[in-house]
Parts: sequence; C-alpha cells; structure tokens
Amino acid sequence: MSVSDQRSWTVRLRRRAVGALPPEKLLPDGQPAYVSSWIYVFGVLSLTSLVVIIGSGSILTLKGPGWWHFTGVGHFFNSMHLWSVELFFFFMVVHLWGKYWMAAWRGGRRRVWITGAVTFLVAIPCALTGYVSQQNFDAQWISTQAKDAMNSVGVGAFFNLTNFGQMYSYHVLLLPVAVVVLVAAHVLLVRKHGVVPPFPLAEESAAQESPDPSPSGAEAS
Amino acid sequence: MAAVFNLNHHATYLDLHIGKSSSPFFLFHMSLSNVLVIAVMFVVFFAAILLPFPGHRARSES
Repeated sequence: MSVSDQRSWTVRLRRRAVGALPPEKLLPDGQPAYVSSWIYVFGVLSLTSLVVIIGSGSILTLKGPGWWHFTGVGHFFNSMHLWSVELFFFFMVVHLWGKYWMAAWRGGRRRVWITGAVTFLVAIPCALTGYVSQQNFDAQWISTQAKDAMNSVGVGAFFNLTNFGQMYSYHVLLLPVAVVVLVAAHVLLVRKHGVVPPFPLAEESAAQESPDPSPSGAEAS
Repeated sequence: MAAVFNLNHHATYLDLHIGKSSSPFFLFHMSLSNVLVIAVMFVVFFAAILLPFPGHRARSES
C-alpha cells in the first residue's frame, strides 16, 4: 500500500469494509443445510413486511395524514399500512421466539441479538405514534390514555402523545429511520457472522466432547 | 373488516379476577382478539418447528 493510499480515508474505509464483509459473505450463493426449516423463514417475512410498511407509509406521508379518510385509494393504502404492521409484529414475535429458544447470541452473535431486540423495542413506539396519527377519535382516545403511561414512567416531558405534530414527526421520520438503520445493521451482522446453527443433538454433543475414546479411559472408569 | 364482520359492539374481554368475580384486582385482562392472535402465534411457531421444509432432506444429503 502506497503512502498516498495510507492517507486516503476512502481506501482505509474500503479495506476495512471489505475485510469485515467480503462480497461472498455479503451476498452469499448458498446457506447451510440447517437453514432449510420454516423457523428460519420469519426473519425474511419480517423484512418483507417492513418493505410494504415503508412503501405504503411513504404514499400516506406524501398525501397527508387525513387523505385516507375521504378517498377509496387512501383507505386502501391505509389498510395496507395497518395490516403490514400487524404482520410485521406477528412475524417479528415468532422470529424472536425462535431465536430466543435457539440462543441466537451464541458464537459471537451478541450484537446480532442486541440489534434485533432493540429493533423490536423501537418498533413499539413507532407503531404507537402511528395509532395517534390517524386523525380520528380513535387517535384522540389512544393519545389521552397512553399519555398517562408516558407520564408514569417519567418521559411525558419528552414524548407528549397529545402533541400531534411531535407524534407525526416521530412516526414518519425519526422512529422509522431508527428501525431501518437497526434492521440494516442486524442484517449485515447476520451476513458477517452467519445464520445461527441449531443446538447439536445429545449424541452429537457427547461425540464432540469425547471424539476419540481411548481403551485406557474405559478401563479407568 | 367491518364490511365482513359486525364490529359495532364493545370488545369481548377475557378477565381473570383475584377472588370474587366482582373483585377489581385483575390477574389477567385482555381482549379476546388479542388472545386469539397470541394463540395463532403459538400455533404458527410450533408448526414452523415441526413441519418439514420442502427440499430439506435433499439438501442435507448433498
């Protein structure tokens, strides 16, 4: 590496990025055999739902928060947004259960688990701010009830559910950006570390612990 | 949904009280629809573990 290359931050960044995530890891052409299970599908289903959420939400944002009340097309996109959110949480919870019982933080995957768990936690206020951005009596009811929950945990001064402008900004910009960034980091970390393998069966783990049992060991026992 | 199902009524709740049914202390209080969604999640979770994935055997052998 030449001196000019060493000084160039783009070269250093590129080398570091390629070192951490080589192209064959970033876009692999195959997965281990154990990934052929339905329980491994729910991460991708969550991602697919998120794409529909962002797409339908972007259209609703462009047309304004009241558009869906008085047009059929708006109602269609609002329903698509609602049901993709329902599916997102459904798939994400099943994905979370699967990974929890698989102890998906094994093998240096601690950051994969943390980014996934934090995404779930950030997605909850993201959905809540959507409920209070509906511009109807339902939104008023939810905001006046949920503000008590925020006040009870001491965040009411920062997170005012009766302030529509604040909630709308959180819902269409700040929290979705946080969710998308966390999901991107989560996926890149999965690519880096690989998909977590299932626990070995009892006989496999016993074989791994004593791969070459010697006759002397058998005599001693 | 409202065109298919009559939603013009109060939500149905599942309540488990501590002591008598008139007791204000809830052990469990959740709408029936939420309970059903969680039940479906459990069904899907166990089905995903137990049901064979198409082509799994062929990939394992290769």
